[in-house]
Amino acid sequence: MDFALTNEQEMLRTSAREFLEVECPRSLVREMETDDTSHYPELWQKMADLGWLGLPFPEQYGGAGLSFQDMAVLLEEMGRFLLPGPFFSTVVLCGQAILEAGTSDQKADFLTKIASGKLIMALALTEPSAHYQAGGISVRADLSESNYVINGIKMFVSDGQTADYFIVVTRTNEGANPREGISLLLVDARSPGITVNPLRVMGIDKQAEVVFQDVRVPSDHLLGPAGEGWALVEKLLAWGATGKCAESVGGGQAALDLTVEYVKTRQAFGQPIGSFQAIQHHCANMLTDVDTSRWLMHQAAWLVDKGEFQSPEISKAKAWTSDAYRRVTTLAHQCHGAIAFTKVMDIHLYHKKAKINEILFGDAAFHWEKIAGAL
Amino acid sequence: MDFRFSPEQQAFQNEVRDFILTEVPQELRWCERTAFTDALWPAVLETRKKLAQKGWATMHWPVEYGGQGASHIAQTLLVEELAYWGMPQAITVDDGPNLIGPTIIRFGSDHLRKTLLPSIASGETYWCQGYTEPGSGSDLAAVRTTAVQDGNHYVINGQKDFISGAARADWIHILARTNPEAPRHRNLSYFVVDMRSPGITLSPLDEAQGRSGMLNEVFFDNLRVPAENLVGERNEGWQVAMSTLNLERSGIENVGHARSFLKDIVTYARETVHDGESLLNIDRVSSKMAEMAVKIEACRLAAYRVAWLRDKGLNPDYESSMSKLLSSEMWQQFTDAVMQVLGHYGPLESDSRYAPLKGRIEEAYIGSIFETIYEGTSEIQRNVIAQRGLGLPRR
Repeated sequence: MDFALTNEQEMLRTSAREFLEVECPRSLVREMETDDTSHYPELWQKMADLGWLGLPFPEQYGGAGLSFQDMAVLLEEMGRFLLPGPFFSTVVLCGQAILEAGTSDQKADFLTKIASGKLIMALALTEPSAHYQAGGISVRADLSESNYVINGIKMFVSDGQTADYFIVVTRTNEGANPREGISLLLVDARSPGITVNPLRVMGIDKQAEVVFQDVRVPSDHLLGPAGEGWALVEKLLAWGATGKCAESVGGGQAALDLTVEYVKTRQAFGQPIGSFQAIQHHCANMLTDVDTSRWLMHQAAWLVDKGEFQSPEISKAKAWTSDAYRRVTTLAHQCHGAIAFTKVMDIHLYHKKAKINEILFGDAAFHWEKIAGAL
Repeated sequence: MDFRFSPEQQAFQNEVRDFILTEVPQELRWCERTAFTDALWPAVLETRKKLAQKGWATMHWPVEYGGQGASHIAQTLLVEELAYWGMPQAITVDDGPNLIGPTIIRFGSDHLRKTLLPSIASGETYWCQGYTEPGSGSDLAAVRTTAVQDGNHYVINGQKDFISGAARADWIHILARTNPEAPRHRNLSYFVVDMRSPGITLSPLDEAQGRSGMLNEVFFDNLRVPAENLVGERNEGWQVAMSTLNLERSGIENVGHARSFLKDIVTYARETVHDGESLLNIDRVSSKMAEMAVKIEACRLAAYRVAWLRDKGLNPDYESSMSKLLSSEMWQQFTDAVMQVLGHYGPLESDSRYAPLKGRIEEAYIGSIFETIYEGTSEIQRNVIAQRGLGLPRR
């Protein structure tokens, strides 16, 4: 066992923190909260220049060839600074899916553009049924000569309003098992028949309803084998769940740091409130939640790198972290009192993000069910 | 990072399992309630000696003191495995190898090292800890027991309370006040005392879960202790005791227990059919078990992180409090969750032929109450985490 980051990971963490401290101040985060897209092109280009947008891709596609554990280090920092924008959708989800399942032409085309900052992507997975099981996929893609014709509605598509391209999870066949007959398609967001309706959700995340009406996609835009796409979706769910855990660890740590700083200075009854046991125990509970989330998350990322996408330990990480981040930000509010309920302070940004991250890629109850299946 | 055991550690784990299954009497499994009785104690002693002969009891000690210089990760693995198979505390968290031995190695004189360590390493002496008093539990520095020097001896008077294993112990390590004038924390000294010394009397306490004779009140009446039994400097016993307590705070036994219970309760729920439906197919049952599996994993990583920090030469501080806090609260929630699954069958005592899991849950459920109190209450652990982990001010 080894609980230490590698030297390279320590360096990545330090440089990410230094960069985001300057380039992603909370003033920008606040601005993006009311922005239509959360996408800030100047910052995006700087991230491309740093190599972040190609982090997991091989060098031939302009990438850095780093592992998912490295990605987790970066995502933790992004979570700490509440980085707005489509990084998670574009790189963690769509980029890695194309790297995993794409043809060499698809990889050369898409990954190179993503790495250089020229292509933003979004994963169109969930539907109005709003869950992460194969039975929830009902958007149809029917083969008509050399095109797939897509019809149906995708919901809660993160960064749907920003994306140039979608990965759309479709049903191409009705099988006895809902996992059969799933196909993933690379779809140009400007295709005729696509309507993107932005959804207003709390915090900095941007989601959209994406309506497909007779959208025609060339059949060579299939990502992975036809009808057998659920295996790739399961990998996407593992990247998504583990990646959200990493963001949440960073966010939880930031909320805790802000709280500790505050309770050491805020005075009541003639002393800093941090000297009261009631406050100390809240803070101890927060640190315990952040620390345990961090190790469960790192274990999950380590398993992802080993290719063990089905491991129940990934679900354990997401189940725990989903609740822990929310508990931490709730206690952060409690320790701050009324002032942090106002936008004078930043705790509310973390509290909103915690709820969004809890839901994305399955909340605790969803993952308990998966774990129970493996007991 | 790497979350695997090394191949050597995996082989060791198998070796420990084989040892328990082949060389430890079956009646020692899940015998916490009766481990200290005349019927079982000889078997407990015998098993402790066997563990010592294998070198496992003190595997984490430096080689020069009779240890194997093994990693704390391997030693934690040993305790987890012993707990998984239901070995009693007198075996899993033996004070000698785990608390007083390392304390003597770090703070003790050469004389104490020479005279005491060999009998700990060989499993021949059984130790207990004498810190708590009727008026000093969480407020440990409020010790009232006094030690007054008289030539080459100290004369000790006072009372210790809730002392685990005292009735069976050969030795006790205690805190006593050596300078009534000095401020708290700077007037305490740490002694090791032979339990056969004249002037020691015991009074057993009956515990809620039915265990008897394990917890004791211990009275010192003009007890004479050689001055050379002082561990560390006179009046600096607080630092020594804090170091000992830090070693004590591991959560791994509860993790081992919970993993074992979880396996059994899942099997029970799968095989138990009410109204045509397996219990495990009921959402509230399976979700509860999954939720507990998550908590157990969080506790397991917290405990191994403490061991890893020790192996790195970093002195775990708030991290060991966190591990103790997490696993003790997990064990309470877990035993309650199992009770909820079992319903009316849960409270059946172990001698009932209807009791599931051989009636182990009834004892575990009541016993779990003590977990968040002894070795530092949850409130004290949270104070430690806040003050030493986050630097919040003490009042």
